[in-house]
Amino acid sequence: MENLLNIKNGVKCKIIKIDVENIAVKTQLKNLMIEEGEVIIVKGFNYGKQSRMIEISKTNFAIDSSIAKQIQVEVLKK
Amino acid sequence: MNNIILIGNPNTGKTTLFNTMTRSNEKTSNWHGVTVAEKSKKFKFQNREYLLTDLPGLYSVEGYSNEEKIASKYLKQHKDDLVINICDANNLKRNLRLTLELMKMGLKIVLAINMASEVNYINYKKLGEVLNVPVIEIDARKTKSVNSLKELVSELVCEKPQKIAKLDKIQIQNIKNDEIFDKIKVDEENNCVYTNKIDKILLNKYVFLPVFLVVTFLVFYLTFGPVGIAILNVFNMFFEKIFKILRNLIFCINTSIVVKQFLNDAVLNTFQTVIGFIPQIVLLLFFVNLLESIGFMSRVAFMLDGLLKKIGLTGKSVFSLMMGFGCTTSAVMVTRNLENNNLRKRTALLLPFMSCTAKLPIFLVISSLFFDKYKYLFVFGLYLFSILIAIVVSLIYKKLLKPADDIFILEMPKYRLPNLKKIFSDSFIVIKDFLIKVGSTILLFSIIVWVLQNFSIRFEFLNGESFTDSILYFISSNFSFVFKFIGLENAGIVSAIFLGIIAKEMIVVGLSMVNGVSGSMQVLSASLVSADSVCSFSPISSIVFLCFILLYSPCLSAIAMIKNEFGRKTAIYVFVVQFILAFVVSWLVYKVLTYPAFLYILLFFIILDILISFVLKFRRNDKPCEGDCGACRKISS
Repeated sequence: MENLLNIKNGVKCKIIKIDVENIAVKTQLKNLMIEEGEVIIVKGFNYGKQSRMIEISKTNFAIDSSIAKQIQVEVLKK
Repeated sequence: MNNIILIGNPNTGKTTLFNTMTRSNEKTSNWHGVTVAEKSKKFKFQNREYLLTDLPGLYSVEGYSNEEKIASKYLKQHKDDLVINICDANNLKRNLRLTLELMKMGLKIVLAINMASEVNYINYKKLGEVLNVPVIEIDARKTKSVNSLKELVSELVCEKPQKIAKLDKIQIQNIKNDEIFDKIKVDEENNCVYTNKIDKILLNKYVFLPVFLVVTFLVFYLTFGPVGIAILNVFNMFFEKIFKILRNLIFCINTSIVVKQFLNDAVLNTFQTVIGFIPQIVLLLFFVNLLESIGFMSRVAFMLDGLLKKIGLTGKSVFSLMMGFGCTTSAVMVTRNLENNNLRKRTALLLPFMSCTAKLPIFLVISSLFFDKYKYLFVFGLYLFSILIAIVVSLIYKKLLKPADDIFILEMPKYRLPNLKKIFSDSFIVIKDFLIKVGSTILLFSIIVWVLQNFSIRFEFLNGESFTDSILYFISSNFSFVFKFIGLENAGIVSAIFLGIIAKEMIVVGLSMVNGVSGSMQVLSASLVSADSVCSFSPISSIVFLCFILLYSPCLSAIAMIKNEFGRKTAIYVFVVQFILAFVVSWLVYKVLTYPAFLYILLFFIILDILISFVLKFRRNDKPCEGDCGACRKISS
């Protein structure tokens, strides 16, 4: 299990645990279907590595790196 | 009247559907959170009247953002109304989550699947059967497609309300959107190929920034360069002929010279001056709307998020800041899509630095005086300069204000081909607002200015002969001592600056009225460099004047909106701080331009300041810590 920030681009993984404590953030992630059990593809970083882009159900999302590092994933396919 | 509510996830096409159903022109875009408040409009179908309400996009009825709270509150207050739940076929799985929540609330819903033709792996008929709600495939942009939705709504509301059969609560509790999606999916989805391919190239860190800068430069080049000028000339030639006929008509009327002068100077000249800028405003808006509609702006927000965080903002602020280049007033309202109040306020405080389209006419006139050949470069430079000042101010706010710890989670929309009809209609809305403003506020103040300019303090008609005897000159000259410090002591320029506080379009109108000229931009420009004119510019005063206009207080409507959103104190703060800042920056520019040695003194103090802060930082780091820093903990362990 690794945090999402450490995963290389193009890697397919499964969300195992989301450690976010802020309820508003947790709800927002849930609404966007970024939740435990979902399969994601890691896409890339922006300038300054402040946000990470991931793909879930064929939709791309940009996530703050402070949240990304609280998402634990399991690598499925490199 | 039958009430209908339009609801759905952000960026699913609610406002596009609202516009098509009610034949409105509300602002739409290919990013989330464009609609920040509910709006209603009546429409007639088959001799029946309906009231359609468009709510801000929401992911959940228990959402935390301001727009979600507005939408959720409205839904709870109008439980008996028919709800059109619009879903984006490309994101149906996620959209269905809200659908289930609406069903749990016991609302009467119709499911409208937008852009259904783009997705061929879903069985929409089966979706209706599983959920037991009417489902219709639509394309929100097309009238024919929307008419079939209207027919269904009319049928459900008036003829067969029993058709809106609801599942019982236990049935709804047992449904999960994943399961529904698995049931209705008939094939593997494969609809993001192009978006992924483009993103792979564009979002590379070595590619994006150069592309962004080139695109921005191209927009300015096409708007203010040869293409823009050619369109402007054709447009002005046409309108000059029309205004010539109107002017002849006025002077044929058998009435007093005061009325004739009034109609010619205050009404016709105002309209002709302002209308002359429409082509370039349309071009600029066209390109900005084009970039929005293809999905480029969300990528800008994502890529610049890291850089914006360094100055205390987030990527989401990009939407409001970009809107600021159109109109500060509406951009202040768009800050509602930011959840964190500190971030909202901080973004709003920076909006006056984003030059709105109303400032464009004065930029064009003044830049054509001395920098005509490189006008587009000059205007581009002005925009860059205001952004640079905004960055400096934002860094100061970052140090002084509370941190704006807003989280950045953003859905990247698919790239879409631009819808030219929509882009033109969006540009048309702005031009319509612009003309309404010219016909109301600007015309009213033009009349006031005309009276102040053509009558003496004893209220004698001056017949445009002696501006120095006018009330306007008397007022402006009393304030001109303040502007003497920045080399703008001319009473005509001072009156134009004051008029700009009412509306930025008034600056050009004011200058042309003071100089007593009418006609195209070239005529006004010629009068502003003529030594015989009441109000004339030198190269230095023109640059200082533009610096001042670029940075000083936003117009009254923007101030009123800031008061509405953030309170009176913030509104007064923005007004005063922008004025002082504009004055200070203009003074520095004036000093540098008049005494080049001043630049060296200025640079000396800046370097000295950097050195002092570096030494202080170094000394702070040199002090021993209390034993709670990371290094000490490592040693002790």
